[in-house]
Amino acid sequence: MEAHSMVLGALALAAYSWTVCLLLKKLMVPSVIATIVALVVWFGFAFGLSAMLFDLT
Amino acid sequence: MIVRFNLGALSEVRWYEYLIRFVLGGAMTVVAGLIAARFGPIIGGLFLAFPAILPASATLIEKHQRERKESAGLMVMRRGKDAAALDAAGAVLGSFGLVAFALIVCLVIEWTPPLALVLATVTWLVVSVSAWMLRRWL
Repeated sequence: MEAHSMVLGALALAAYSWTVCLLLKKLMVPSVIATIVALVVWFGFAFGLSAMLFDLT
Repeated sequence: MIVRFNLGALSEVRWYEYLIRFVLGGAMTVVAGLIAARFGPIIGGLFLAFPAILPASATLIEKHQRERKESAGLMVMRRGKDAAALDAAGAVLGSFGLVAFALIVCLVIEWTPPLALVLATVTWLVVSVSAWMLRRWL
């Protein structure tokens, strides 16, 4: 079960990394801010996908 | 930009910068274990792929590039952000490898746990390097 969930976490990590890349490259945001702001994407993806696929309650 | 190996860059990194990465990685592993114990394997599994090292890595890379340009008498902010963005692009490719790692663990862990970890690690390497080569080719 933990490995199933890790797949979703890894997909969220891909989305997070891509967002950081975008913020740095396109918006020229400092990396400290980009990596912190993009955590919203990781949490959104990770918990959003988990809520869709697993029963989190 | 093309992702390449640059072994010379290893000598540019200060010892405490390696320490920061190792401590963050190790600390996140412990935290993921604690979260799994408290909230169960679903939430714990998510945190096995939490971005613990990339924030420190990207920040240090940007700082290094900025300092290098400043020492050369240049005030170039863009170069540091480009280098950090390249690091993040590499992390996207590594994430695909991590997805493959977790999928192999899912499939093989019940048969033979030690072999599952070996197979998953090899798969991570193959998928990550293949993604890197594909990106170069595209």
